[in-house]
Amino acid sequence: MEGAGARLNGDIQAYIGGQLHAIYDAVVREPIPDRFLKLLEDLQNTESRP
Amino acid sequence: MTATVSPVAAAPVVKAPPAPGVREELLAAVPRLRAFAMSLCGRSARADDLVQETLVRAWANIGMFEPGSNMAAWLYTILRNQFYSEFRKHRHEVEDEDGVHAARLTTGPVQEGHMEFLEFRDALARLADDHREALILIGASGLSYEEAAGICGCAVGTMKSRVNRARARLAELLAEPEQARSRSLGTAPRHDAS
Repeated sequence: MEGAGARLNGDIQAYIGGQLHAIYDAVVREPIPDRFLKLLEDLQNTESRP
Repeated sequence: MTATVSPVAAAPVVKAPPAPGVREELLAAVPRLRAFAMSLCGRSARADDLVQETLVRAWANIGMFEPGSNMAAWLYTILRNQFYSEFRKHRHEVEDEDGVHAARLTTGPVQEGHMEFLEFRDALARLADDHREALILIGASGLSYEEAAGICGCAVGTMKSRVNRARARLAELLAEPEQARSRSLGTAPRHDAS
């Protein structure tokens, strides 16, 4: 019984790991919003000004 | 008397301009920063504001970044500090959304096994904030325990224990029968405008 319990626990932990990645990666895979491209461009331009 | 200025003393103390390539490095970190921000404050404009503030601060303080260390971990630290110092002040304004922050970290019903996915989100949202954060940093963002502990300002052992407890609690919540789950969700503390 203990072996089965450990296996079940292993299964659920693998499931948890998979779901966590799915949630996180869904956001990571989204294209970078334009506002951030523009922001970094603005920061760079401000910097290079004397 | 001739004053010889050592190269170290002559180096700009106030602010070094960001080295070439920093812009690209920051830009490359944006997707991960957004995912982390949304795990803290939900899928909202506020999460992107948090990312924006983080980038501005990182740019201004780039001299404090240790070259060769993990840029993402450094940025997560800035983002997290920003969240807890500023965004928490406004937390009462979003009282009704408490507990569903993690639940909104999702792209919607395009996933396979959607019901399971919803159950998982609900369970994740019910974890204590510091447990959920630990689990996201370690289990999803792929940081080491040492890096995650550095970001959260806690001991490595504390981080390990939070992750273990979060996993155990999640497993418990996911094992709850459907009825028990909806009952306990129904009794979740709510701000009652009477």
